[in-house]
Amino acid sequence: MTDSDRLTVMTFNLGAGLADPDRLVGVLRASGADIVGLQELAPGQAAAIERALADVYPFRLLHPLGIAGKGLLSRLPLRDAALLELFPGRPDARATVEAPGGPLTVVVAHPPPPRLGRRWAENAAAAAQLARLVAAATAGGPAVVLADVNRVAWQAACRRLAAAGLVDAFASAGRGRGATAPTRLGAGAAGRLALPPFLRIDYVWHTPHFRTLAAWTGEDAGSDHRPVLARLVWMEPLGAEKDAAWCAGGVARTLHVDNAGDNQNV
Amino acid sequence: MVRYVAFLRGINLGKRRIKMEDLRVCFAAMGYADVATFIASGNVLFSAGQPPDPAAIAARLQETFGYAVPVALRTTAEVRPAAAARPFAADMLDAAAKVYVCFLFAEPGAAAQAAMAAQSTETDTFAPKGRELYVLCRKGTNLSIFTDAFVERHLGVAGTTRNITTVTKLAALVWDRG
Repeated sequence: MTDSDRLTVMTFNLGAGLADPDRLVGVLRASGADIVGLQELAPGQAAAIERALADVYPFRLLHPLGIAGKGLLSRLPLRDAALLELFPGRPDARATVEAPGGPLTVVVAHPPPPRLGRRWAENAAAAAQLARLVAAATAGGPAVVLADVNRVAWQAACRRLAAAGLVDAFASAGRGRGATAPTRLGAGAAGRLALPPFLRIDYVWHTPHFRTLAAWTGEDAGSDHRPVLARLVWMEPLGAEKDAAWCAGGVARTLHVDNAGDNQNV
Repeated sequence: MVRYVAFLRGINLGKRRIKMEDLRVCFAAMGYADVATFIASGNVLFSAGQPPDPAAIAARLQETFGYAVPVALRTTAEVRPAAAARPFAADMLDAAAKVYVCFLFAEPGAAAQAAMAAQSTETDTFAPKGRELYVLCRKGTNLSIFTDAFVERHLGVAGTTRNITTVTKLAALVWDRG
């Protein structure tokens, strides 16, 4: 495996201006991420990224709209970058990254949080948004979804992503609890009470074209979320499997012989 | 047309050698379309207009090849989440650990699933989920209590097992090529 088989991706909700622009630039620069999905990108944050990170991330999609803001930063060329109008006033983003392993669809998403008493029409819009996000990520070929889903893993929205065959990177190879929010309460200087986060609501999801080598939460930059990073490796080409566990002759037990042919190409 | 994967149990071991070409011809002769195989452990992809009967496929395989070949049948839409499921916490998975997916021939009841999960040891963890049984072998297969007979005894349903890597690659295959 060479480094070109590997990809570090990151998702980061910037708290609509809460993440201090200079701190944010430092955290992003030190992250080692090849591809970064940003939610709640504010104009000041976007300006700092444009000013200070063009060398690290020459390919950028920046829509600084505050809570509805999105961004996509890449060391690798982007094409077909576009906003997806999947929920009123709250666009998600999609682009194709020209990765060494081939074209990779990247979706940056931020479904609105569940709200008690939400009107039926809003719930229907949220369900439609999720369905279209899943469709965007599962249209074919390798894909990564970088998202603040606003829900923990056992909630229906996350189960729906898993049911579509998307893999939760942190559940695959993350250490610890992976909680990302809330890291502080309230807005404005007076309200920024630091908290240990207790909800895992920020996710890297990927298609079965990858395996997660590691997943972790990143550095605080002043937002009310911590970022999530995942180191992914492209699966070897089909049929090239060389798994010693069943190459070995000594495992011809009743069960594992079912796998005996798995090393043969056909 | 719906795309299916037939997981065949116990082929290409001992004297039970089946050429993948023969397998494809056999499935095509049953009237299935776009037949393909993935590696030689008995994973056949095909399309069908009507839901196929796995028992009828097994009977035809026995007729053709001369021995019983039980079949676990899934749609490709069912294979995707089976590959994406992560029933074991990441910190249970050290370098020596192997994860297997046993595709069961029928869905066991809740009591049987609980009985199977209760068989977990320090070496092996059993996580039944719907028609799949996920098995984590921490110390390699030679020290494992996990065998086909063990599964059938405790779960009351038999199945056919693949390494999670095989299942993941199969999921990627159906993702790209249907």
